[in-house]
Amino acid sequence: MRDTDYAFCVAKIRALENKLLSKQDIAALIGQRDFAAAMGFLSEKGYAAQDESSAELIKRQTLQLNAVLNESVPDKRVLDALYLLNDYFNLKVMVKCAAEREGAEGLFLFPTTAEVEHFDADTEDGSFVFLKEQYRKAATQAYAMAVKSGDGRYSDVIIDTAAICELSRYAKMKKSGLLGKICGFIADTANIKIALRCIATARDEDYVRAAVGDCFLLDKPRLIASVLSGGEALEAYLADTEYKQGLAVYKSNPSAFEKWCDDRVMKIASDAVYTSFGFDPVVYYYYRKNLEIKTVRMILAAKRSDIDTETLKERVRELYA
Amino acid sequence: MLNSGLFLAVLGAALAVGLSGVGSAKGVGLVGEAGAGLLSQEPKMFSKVLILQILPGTQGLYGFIIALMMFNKIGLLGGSIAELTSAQGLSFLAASLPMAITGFFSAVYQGRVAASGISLIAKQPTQTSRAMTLSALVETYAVLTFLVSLIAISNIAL
Repeated sequence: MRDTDYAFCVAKIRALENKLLSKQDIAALIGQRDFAAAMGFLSEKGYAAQDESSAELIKRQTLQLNAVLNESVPDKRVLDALYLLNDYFNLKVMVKCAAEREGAEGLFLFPTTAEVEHFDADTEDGSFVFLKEQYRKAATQAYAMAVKSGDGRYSDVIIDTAAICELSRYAKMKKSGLLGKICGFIADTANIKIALRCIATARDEDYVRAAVGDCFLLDKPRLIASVLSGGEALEAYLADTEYKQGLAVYKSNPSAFEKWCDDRVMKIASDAVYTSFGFDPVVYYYYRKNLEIKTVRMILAAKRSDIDTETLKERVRELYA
Repeated sequence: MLNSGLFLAVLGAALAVGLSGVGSAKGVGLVGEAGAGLLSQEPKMFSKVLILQILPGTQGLYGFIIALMMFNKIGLLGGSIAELTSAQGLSFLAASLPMAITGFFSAVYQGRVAASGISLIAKQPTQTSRAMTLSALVETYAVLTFLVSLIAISNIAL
């Protein structure tokens, strides 16, 4: 498609960007005294509907985002890459529910292209015939592992690795596009997290080789070799990559690594702020809106749990800090 | 009967109005798409969108004027049709080309700038005049070539 085919979509999205919660709005939300006041503030801003629960609010905002994208993007296939992580999460749900013969109601993430509506835990025999080829392969392997080992963690590893490989494949295919760069970043940082976990739990070589997926900017053989040689070797390897700062963040506070990843994704996505045509502004809006939803959900959960304002401010992503 | 001189002159007029028109249609269409995207969220911005959408349409008008000028000069609008030599026909064709070529490309690019202007006013509604100025600058080259074609046609001796 030509970039000008996105003219309608980009103009609509630019108008919608004005309706996103600002840094000041998030600061005001954090400053609300309790959960009820926070919900009241969101209602005043027109973000929450009257008498809406926080779960309903998050669900509605997510559905609205997807409706906007589906209505506006001229080629719907390009949206599939945005939903990859949801798809693979849903594969995990299907595998676990099929192995344990449990219903999956309310467990799936949306939007998804994983055709979850065809899934029936009672009749699924592990062949997952309704899934598309690359999903079916991961799901059948994971199902076989789940049934054989009786431990869902091993089947999760298979699906996580498949997800990383798919993200990396997409990133290499679309390396000049914004979404390609973001997928590549997500694949690499997921591999780094796996590598760090493998070192922390002293995993054997077979496990490490199975768990580390394809990389984008990292060198997979070098990453695996450094994991097998220990923490210092991994640190030495990552010091030469653009993930050096992320490793430093992880070492100071592992939970801050997720925040660093979100901040970096937004930084990559913000390249599209000055773009007038093409798919990149859609990618920017998708990640920006998702970050807004994530931030609102986090603040509301914190307000419900009486977490203090200072702690909340530390957790809020750079965009709203 | 259409002689070769007359044919070349009519071809020139057709190119001037045709290419400029196609360029304008593409430009206006692109701004229209972007405008619809903005109006789907902000219907009250219609007047601002309309001004930006009009801008790439002027090239089509310039091309039309050039074609009318040529038809008038060679007598296709009334009176007797001039007997044109091939050289005269080629002169008319050559005179129409600046308008035809620049009209096409300037309308397309002006459409892109105006559509980007739609995105600009979507984010910052107070920036309408700047969006218009940016887009109008592309028009300069269409105006220059319009004048060149106009002068050239006026000075072709029959």
